[in-house]
This record gives sequence, structure tokens and C-alpha cells, in this order.
Amino acid sequence: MSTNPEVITCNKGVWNLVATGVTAGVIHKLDNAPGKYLQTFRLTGEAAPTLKSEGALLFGYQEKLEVIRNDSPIDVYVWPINAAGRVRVDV
Amino acid sequence: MIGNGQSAGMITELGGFAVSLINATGAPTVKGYLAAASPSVDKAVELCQIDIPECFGVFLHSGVEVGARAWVVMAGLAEVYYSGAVNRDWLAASPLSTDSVPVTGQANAIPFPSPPFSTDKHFAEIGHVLQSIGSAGLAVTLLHFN
Repeated sequence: MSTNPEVITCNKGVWNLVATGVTAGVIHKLDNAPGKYLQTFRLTGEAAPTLKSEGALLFGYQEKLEVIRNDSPIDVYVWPINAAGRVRVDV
Repeated sequence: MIGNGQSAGMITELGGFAVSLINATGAPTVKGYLAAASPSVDKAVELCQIDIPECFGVFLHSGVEVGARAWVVMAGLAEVYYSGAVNRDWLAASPLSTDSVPVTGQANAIPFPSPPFSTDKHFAEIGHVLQSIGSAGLAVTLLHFN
């Protein structure tokens, strides 16, 4: 079941939970201030990530959105690198 | 992409529709073997047993471990493992003890439909129940129309 888009402010230098229990969706970049964002995920119900080192680059070169797709529900986390950021999540 | 990029259903390279279900066969999957609903695990499959004609799909890959999700092709085209020689235009079937070489999980083929394939209950079938529920309501079911 779809929901309205949600704009989420993400704190700099920490993992921010931006979506819970999703199997499909899209994340849009609304703010370029962080320079780069990282992403990771957990199967829903499992502990949140703590290490930056597991992050993979969110939004490729000049890309402004990223697709979420998994065969079982996941929680999605975003880590803005240089400053606080904002994303819009459509699920 | 965030996640494994997979969904619970997909179109295979050969042109089949596959769903992702847990391997509860007790052994790693074998490509083309017949799958049926597990009697003990939700959203899982076991091998189709001899004389229990409830097969709804075949394993797409070999080597998927017990407890892991395996792709099960349940419509369209798929490679099926037969226990003996088959000919084009025959009817593919799950194993029966009256077959010349009945093997659990392996398909058989016969020239033309005959009982029990032509019984009323068979033609009333709409699918296979994959989730237990305690009272009336919704349960995950793999649709399969005869």
C-alpha cells in the first residue's frame, strides 16, 4: 500500500532511519549540502547499524534518486557526510 | 539501489513466472524438481511427494540451502526434471506410484489425461495454501487454476 511522500531531515555523521518495513520505494535527494550521502539497510526488526564503514554511496554521479527494492521488508538508513541533509522517501 | 534488488516474484530468463519461497525440503534444492506447499513451515515448499498431487512449481536453481529463499517457477516456461524419457505433446505430471519409475520430486509424463486428472475435484482447484490461519480470513495462497 502506498503512502504520501515523506520529507526527512537527516543529521550529519550518523545513521538516520528514513524508511521502515519497506520492500520497494524511491529516495530523492532534496539537499546538496552534505556533498555525499551513504546508505545501508537492515532486515526489519534487527538492530540499527552503527558503523559508517558499511555505508555505500547513495545517489550516483548526478543522480537525484535511488531505488529501494528487497524481497523481504527492510529498514533503510542514510548518513549525510559533510552537513545535515534532507531526503524525500516515496514508498 | 538499496536492498538486494529482488522482489517476491520475477520473470525468469526462459519466460516463466517465479516466486520466492523458503526451501523446506530437507536438502539443497535441485533444479527442475517439483515443489509443493510445506505442511510445517509458512511460505515454504517441500518436494512433491509420490501420490500427493499438489505440485505448484519447480525449482529454478540447484543448491539453495534449507531455510533459504528459493525461486519456484509456477507459470510459463521452466525446465522440469523428469524421471524418464518424455515426448513432446505429452502431459507433464507429478509422480504417482503407478508410474514406471516414481521418484519423489521428479516429474512424470503421460500421453493423455486420465483419472485422477479428470476428476471433479481436480478441476475445482484454485491453488495451494501457503499460510495457516486460525479462522476465516486472508492467507497467502499460490494461485493455480486447472
